[in-house]
Amino acid sequence: MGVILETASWDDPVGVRLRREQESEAVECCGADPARDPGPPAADVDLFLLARDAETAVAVGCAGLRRLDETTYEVERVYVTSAWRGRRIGEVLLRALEEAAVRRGATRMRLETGSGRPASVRLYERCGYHRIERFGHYADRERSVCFERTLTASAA
Amino acid sequence: MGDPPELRTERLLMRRWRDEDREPFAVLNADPEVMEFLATRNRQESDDMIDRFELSFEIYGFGLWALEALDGGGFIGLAGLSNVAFTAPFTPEVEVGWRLARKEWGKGYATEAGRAALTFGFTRAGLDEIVGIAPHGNRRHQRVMERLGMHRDPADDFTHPALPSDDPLAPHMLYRLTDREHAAR
Repeated sequence: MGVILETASWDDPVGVRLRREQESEAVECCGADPARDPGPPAADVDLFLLARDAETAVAVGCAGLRRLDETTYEVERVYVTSAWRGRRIGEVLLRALEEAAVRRGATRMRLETGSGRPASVRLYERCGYHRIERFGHYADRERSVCFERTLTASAA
Repeated sequence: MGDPPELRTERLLMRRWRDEDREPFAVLNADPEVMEFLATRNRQESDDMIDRFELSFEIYGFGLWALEALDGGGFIGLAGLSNVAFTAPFTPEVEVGWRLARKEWGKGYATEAGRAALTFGFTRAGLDEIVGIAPHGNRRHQRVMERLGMHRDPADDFTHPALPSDDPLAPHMLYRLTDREHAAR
């Protein structure tokens, strides 16, 4: 019966484990430096979601929503464990974050991924995101790729 | 998704209660078919229930969620976890429960929401055991509990303490599921 998404705190132990996996992949594929990008402080994360397999309750993915300003939110740390890829779990997580952002008054969503992550890039393009200039603290990161999507109430 | 905790399944959003749910929830609670095994409730009683559900989330971190169909149908009922509100040989315990508007029956929503609530109860709320309760006559409810992998021991059957012992709805069945059984499925 697919996945169950659940809200969790940013420092939830299961979520922390998934985020560590995500970070180590980012180091491998894109030369990310966790010391340079420790991720958002918990206070900036408005919503953090865990995805679990509905049958076994095994945690299979996560994603976070970070408030940048009143109308702009950022998708953070989208991650699906390797065995569970290809089942559109990333898309389910992304759509749930978009709905949540719209409810919070957002009109646009931004995100950053690495140029060495073609699967992520495809996911975001399929979900209606378009490339933008590297924003905020990604501006000087040559291996970062940034995306944006305009949110409308009906999209949520 | 909104304020935690909230859950989302393939077809359902299990979310915290909003003021706009009060009207449809009162309609549901006044439907004699939905409330066949319970007593129908008036608007005030219905509103008080919502306040108690929300209080449960604040105090215990779990509760009965408002249930919304993701196909755009809006509010369709409730499902989730609650502390058993009476004293019986098996209490204190946390029970899983659901109540759906009549036109939403037969779609598998109760099973889908019940499964998500059990998963949440064991993995997030840290519960060791969750029970399910139904009067003997409510086969529909019993079937969903069975689908959820819960099991009944007739030795656990009990008479609901809030009802007169000769009330036909007083004899109840208890279903159980432990964290270990849930993890071993």
